Amino acid sequence: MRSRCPVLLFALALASLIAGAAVDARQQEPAKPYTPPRTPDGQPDIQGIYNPVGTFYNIEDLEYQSLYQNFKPNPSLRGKSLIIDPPDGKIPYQTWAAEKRKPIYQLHGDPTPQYVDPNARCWPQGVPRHVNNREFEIFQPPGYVVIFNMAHHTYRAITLDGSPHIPESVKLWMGDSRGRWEGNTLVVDVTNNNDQTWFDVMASFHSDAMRVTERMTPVSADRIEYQAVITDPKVYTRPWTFAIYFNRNKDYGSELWEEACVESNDRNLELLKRPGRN
Amino acid sequence: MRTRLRHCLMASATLGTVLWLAPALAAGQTWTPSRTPDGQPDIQGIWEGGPASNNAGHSLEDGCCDAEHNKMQRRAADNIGLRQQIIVDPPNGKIPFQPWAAAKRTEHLINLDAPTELQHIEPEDRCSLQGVPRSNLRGPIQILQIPGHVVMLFEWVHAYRVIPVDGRPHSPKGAAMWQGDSRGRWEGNTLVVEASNFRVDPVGYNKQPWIDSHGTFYSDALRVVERWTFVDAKTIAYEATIEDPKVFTHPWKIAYLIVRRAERHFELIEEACWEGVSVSNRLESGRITAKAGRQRPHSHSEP
Repeated sequence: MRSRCPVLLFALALASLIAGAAVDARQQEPAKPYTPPRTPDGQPDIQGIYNPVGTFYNIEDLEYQSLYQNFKPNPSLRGKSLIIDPPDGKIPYQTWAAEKRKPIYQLHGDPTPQYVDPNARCWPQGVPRHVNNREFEIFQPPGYVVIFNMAHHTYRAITLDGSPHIPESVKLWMGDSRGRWEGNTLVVDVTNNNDQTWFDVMASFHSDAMRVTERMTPVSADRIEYQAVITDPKVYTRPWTFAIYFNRNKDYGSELWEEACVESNDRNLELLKRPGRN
Repeated sequence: MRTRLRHCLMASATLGTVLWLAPALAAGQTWTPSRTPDGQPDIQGIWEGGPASNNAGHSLEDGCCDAEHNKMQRRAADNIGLRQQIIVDPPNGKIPFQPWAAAKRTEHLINLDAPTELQHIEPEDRCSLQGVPRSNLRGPIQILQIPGHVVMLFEWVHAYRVIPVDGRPHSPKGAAMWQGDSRGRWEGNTLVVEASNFRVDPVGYNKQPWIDSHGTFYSDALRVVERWTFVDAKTIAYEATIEDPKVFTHPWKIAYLIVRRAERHFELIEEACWEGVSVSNRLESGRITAKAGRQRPHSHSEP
């Protein structure tokens, strides 16, 4: 008797463990991970043309994005944000930075020259804004992930060879991107950013101390989830996280064509030349 | 006398080019590059126009610059003109403008020398896209390949060019672009690219790329056929035939060598042209020149 008891207990314990595991498995079943095909050099293949599903107008409040589609705001999106951390969905500016932003924010629809959105001047959009403004195409030649933007006709080459960042003193509009694959997630560390780009139309700014850590995860053949953790101790009280996703453009034979922003650039100058402006 | 000497020098330069290229081209027939997974010759890496193409982006006919210009830009004092004739056809090395187009180009050269309006500032100085073949004449080019495509990244204005080599047709005529629409194919070790669908400025001025800084403009009929012959692991014999029956009397051709950047860890870094764009000083000096009646076509010789 004494000798059989432990066996029985062990069997019972084992049975309950198996049952528990089975329950867990059932609960997790819907989240079957997507395994993308591989490129010749073994990268998860995420190539193609994508449309970002986000908002390029105000990343902290999605209500007015629909103005671009039908000239009407969408009150059901009021206060909804692309920022998933902090939980209030707001960029955690330091006090001085919030004060600096205030007048630019208020004048964003009718700016004086120094307050014009850098995108309206057709400058390179920077990270992460360049993946949140119309179509882009991903190419994966060996050792690289290259993103081509339709807007502004610029590119970002993300090297995957483990090479170090360029010296800190060099500041770039599109930053310096070094990436690696963690399973099916592309993790990119973006440094050497200059302080000239915004995140949206609403004067959301950063300094040249900004560092962006991006994670791009293909969750199906046609969708990539994108998260960017923004760190900038000169401007924000804490790191914050921006999240959108990219949908594959499945139109047959689609090709990325040039969007030559510069063509109508001088129109901006005309707009600023109104009487009473300086 | 001076003209004859010049022609003589140019003819020698052309002969020099041919003699220089001949062994390279012969070698190209035997060079066997490795292949990409889809069977293209693997030509990936960073390339740049060789020394002979120095200054050709400024003027395909005359190069650049004068001593004063070089001093201002901290360039070597003797870096003047072209080291080699870049326009190989016609043999005189001159762009065969039709008469009306030659007059238009002279107007561009006058306005270039003393700009009085924003539109007189040439496209390159406004940091606009460079088009074809001018993109290949300004700084390093990184070539990357994925199945069915050759991709070129340029350091200058952070622009790019995607060349499908999968036999697809050109984009529709209405879709005109600054960089044009490129379609390529491989003929042995030669990448042949046909580029058309170039945008032209609807008001006929310079809101479109020029082929060089000296006002070499084109119409919507421009078609450029490039031949990138990979002669060995380090050398491309580059040729571009430029035809535009609305502007030139006949097609003309440029040729020069593009060489691989051999430095270890060489990487393209963003060239943010926009940062230094300030035209107000140039417009002010141009207006002073115009007011004094001292306008003349831009040239590299003293008036």
